[in-house]
Amino acid sequence: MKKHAVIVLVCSALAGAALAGCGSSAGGSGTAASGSTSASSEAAASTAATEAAGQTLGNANIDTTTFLKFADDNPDIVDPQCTSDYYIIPMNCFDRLLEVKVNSDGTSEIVPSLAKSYEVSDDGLTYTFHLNKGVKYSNGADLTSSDVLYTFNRLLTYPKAVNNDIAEGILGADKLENAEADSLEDVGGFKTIDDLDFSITLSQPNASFLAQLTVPGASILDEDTTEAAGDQFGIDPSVTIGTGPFVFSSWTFNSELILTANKDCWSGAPACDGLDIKVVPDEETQRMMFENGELDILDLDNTPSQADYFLGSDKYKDQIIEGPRVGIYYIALNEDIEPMGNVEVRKAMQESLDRQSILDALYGGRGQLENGILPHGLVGFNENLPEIKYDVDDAKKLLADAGYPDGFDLELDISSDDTQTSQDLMEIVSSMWGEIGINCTIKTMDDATLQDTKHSGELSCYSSSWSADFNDPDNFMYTFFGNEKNAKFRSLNYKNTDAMDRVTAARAITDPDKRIAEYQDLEKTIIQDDAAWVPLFSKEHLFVVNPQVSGFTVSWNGWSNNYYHNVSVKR
Amino acid sequence: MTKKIVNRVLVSIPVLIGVILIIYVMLNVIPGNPIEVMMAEHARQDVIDRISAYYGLDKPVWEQFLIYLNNLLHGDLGVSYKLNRSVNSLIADAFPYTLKLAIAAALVSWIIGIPAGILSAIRENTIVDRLFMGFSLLGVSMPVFWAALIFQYIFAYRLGWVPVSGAETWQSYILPAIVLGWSSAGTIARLTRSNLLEVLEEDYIRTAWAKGLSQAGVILHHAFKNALLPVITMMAIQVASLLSGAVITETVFAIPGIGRLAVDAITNRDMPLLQGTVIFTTILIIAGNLIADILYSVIDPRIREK
Repeated sequence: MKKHAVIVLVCSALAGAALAGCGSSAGGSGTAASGSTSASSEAAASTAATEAAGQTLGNANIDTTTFLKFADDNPDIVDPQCTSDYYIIPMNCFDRLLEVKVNSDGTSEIVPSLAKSYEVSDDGLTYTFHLNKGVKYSNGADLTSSDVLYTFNRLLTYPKAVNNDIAEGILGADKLENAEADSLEDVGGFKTIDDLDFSITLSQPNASFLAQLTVPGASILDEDTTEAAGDQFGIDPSVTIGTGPFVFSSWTFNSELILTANKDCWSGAPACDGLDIKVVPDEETQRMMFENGELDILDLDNTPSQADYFLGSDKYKDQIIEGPRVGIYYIALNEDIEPMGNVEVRKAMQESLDRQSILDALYGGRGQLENGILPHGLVGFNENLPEIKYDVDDAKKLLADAGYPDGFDLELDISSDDTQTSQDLMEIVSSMWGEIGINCTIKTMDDATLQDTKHSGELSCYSSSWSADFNDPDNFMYTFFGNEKNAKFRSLNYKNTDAMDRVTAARAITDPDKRIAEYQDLEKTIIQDDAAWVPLFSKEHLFVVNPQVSGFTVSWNGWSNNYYHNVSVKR
Repeated sequence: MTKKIVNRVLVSIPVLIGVILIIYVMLNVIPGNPIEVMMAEHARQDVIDRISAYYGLDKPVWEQFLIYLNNLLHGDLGVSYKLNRSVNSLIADAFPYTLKLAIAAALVSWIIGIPAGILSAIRENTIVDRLFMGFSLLGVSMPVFWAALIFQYIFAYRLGWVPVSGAETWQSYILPAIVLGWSSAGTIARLTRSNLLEVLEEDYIRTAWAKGLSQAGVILHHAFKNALLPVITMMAIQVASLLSGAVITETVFAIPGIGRLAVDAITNRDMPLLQGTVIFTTILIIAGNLIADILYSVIDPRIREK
């Protein structure tokens, strides 16, 4: 009998552990595992806040029945200054001084937001802003000039900030970054005029400054809340407070983020009751959830394996909403690795790729060929840029002229984390280059190794993409070709220092037309004359949207996330 | 008995230290800065350097290791580089999901596996036996991700009986528990069957029959208890391994458990989180084995006396 007693004890201990794990104090009853999970969410709801006992940060007790539902990745952090990927919270729960508005003809312009107006001094150095009156954060605090000062100071001094480049052009920014000063106001970069008016002074004219103020990383933060929150800002919804149309209400890690409508939002209440964002890693699962009505919007960029199913389906073909993904796919050519130091070789590599076939094969032709650096949809895009022709014979001739009539050996690098499509891309490139005698070997590297090799300037040849953060050529030109350091960091090792000096100098041209003309001329020099990379294409961003949803538009830029202020859903 | 448990716990300590050391060395030998990986295309050298320094990654590896060990002794597993949260709380948050899934899956596997094993043994080489063994072979050999997708398609998508994925309601756990449980049920059924068959050959069983006991009496009271020994061991180890995270099942069904945490940590070179999950699961496995040992000696007096 004793033996039995012990077995029963052990078994009940195990069962007890199971129920305890459900976090429910009422779990002891004999109703088996079934009741315990729902009990757990109630338990979490009753504690409602940050205790480790609940898996949910914020308020879990929200009825999301009428909310707009879609899937996304689980964010690392939603602090606008510390993420360069997860913009859903910054875009929808925060506002910026200025925003970008897309016109019906596809052009975009910078429009007032928290700042109702601004003036720029004649020398292009000082920007004076006037904030809208009566703007409140979702916790009821008023927006003031000092919040703006705090936001820029934090960008430059918070150790985990990754978007500090937005504020680096401000006078004295380097002193803050080097911990020689605490506030831009002490070093001449920022001047508070009164509660609603202030001015920002740059160290040198930068025509892309206003565009940079529209990016999620430039979201304005509430000084008191953010400072008090410390490193919980961007983690705990209850202290992640902005002025935007939605309030970040709850985050169940790796599972769900809930945003509720900010009915008192200064720019008007949003069109739906809230956003229920599910974290669903599997693409097939996402498709089934969408078809089951558990998701209202499906991002086909996050579910590429399901794209053909929806695009080929009679049922869904009218439910596809698309927009340009302002960005460019390219193949980087490392000029330090022979014979890619030879411009004729690089031109031969450009001409021997049938880019349209690649776009057709990999993305069903859903995109446009690019011939430079600035993609379709970006300010400064040049539709008159000559097309890089596909001409195998000419490519062979170029190679022979360069002294490589029999071709050469080349290593192509891919990351083990690359999607199947990216791997297929390099396979196709390898076979096309093989036609002109370039004998390619594809080397798969662990992603960490690949990044490390790339940043030390030693990666041979790889494909990647860059999408727009802000709508200005500088975001593309300077990132890759601003100086030798930038070119090396992406293993391009571009050698034309004159062109790179001009890219940097173009930042300070204040006449917009002259500036765009300079960028377009540089783009031609760098890509068409110097063949610094092989431009491939830009892609369309496709979504499948439930017919009950209206007002959904694809964000203008290259991000995955969208604005949901005007999106509504009928239930 | 107590002495034995204390001994086993003491023996586990060097195992744990070994695991910590190996995982630390391995992670620091492979190239690549975690911050660099996380920032991907948006990386800038000065930002990488600043954030690396913030996490102390600019210090020599031995110094980082000592700091890590010191924190570990205070029960602090560190802060995840990528997720910006304490590893302790990440594990504490993820574990209940994994625990619920593991217990549900274990129950499924026992409820199916043990009776199936017993029936197969009693009806050896009949159609019942073949049917159960075929069923369990299917469970053992079917890839979990495939079974998961098929089940999802039929029961969630086509029939709509349960949600496709998620972890909010108890219904969400039905499919993943069946998928996971079925594969272990196969193992348990086969183990129960073969042990029971072996025991049924023993002399004392013949004696029991000779005493005129009923079939249920012989099987359940005499044979099954003895046949159960290896099964119990298997069950304890199985629960421990289920608790270390069923990576694929958690991914397909979007359950935010330990397995998902560990996989994300590997992809992102998130060392504190990866070390944390490995240490945590090592402890679970050690505990699982310990419990198996204890159960073994509780059930089998011969082992206890040794």
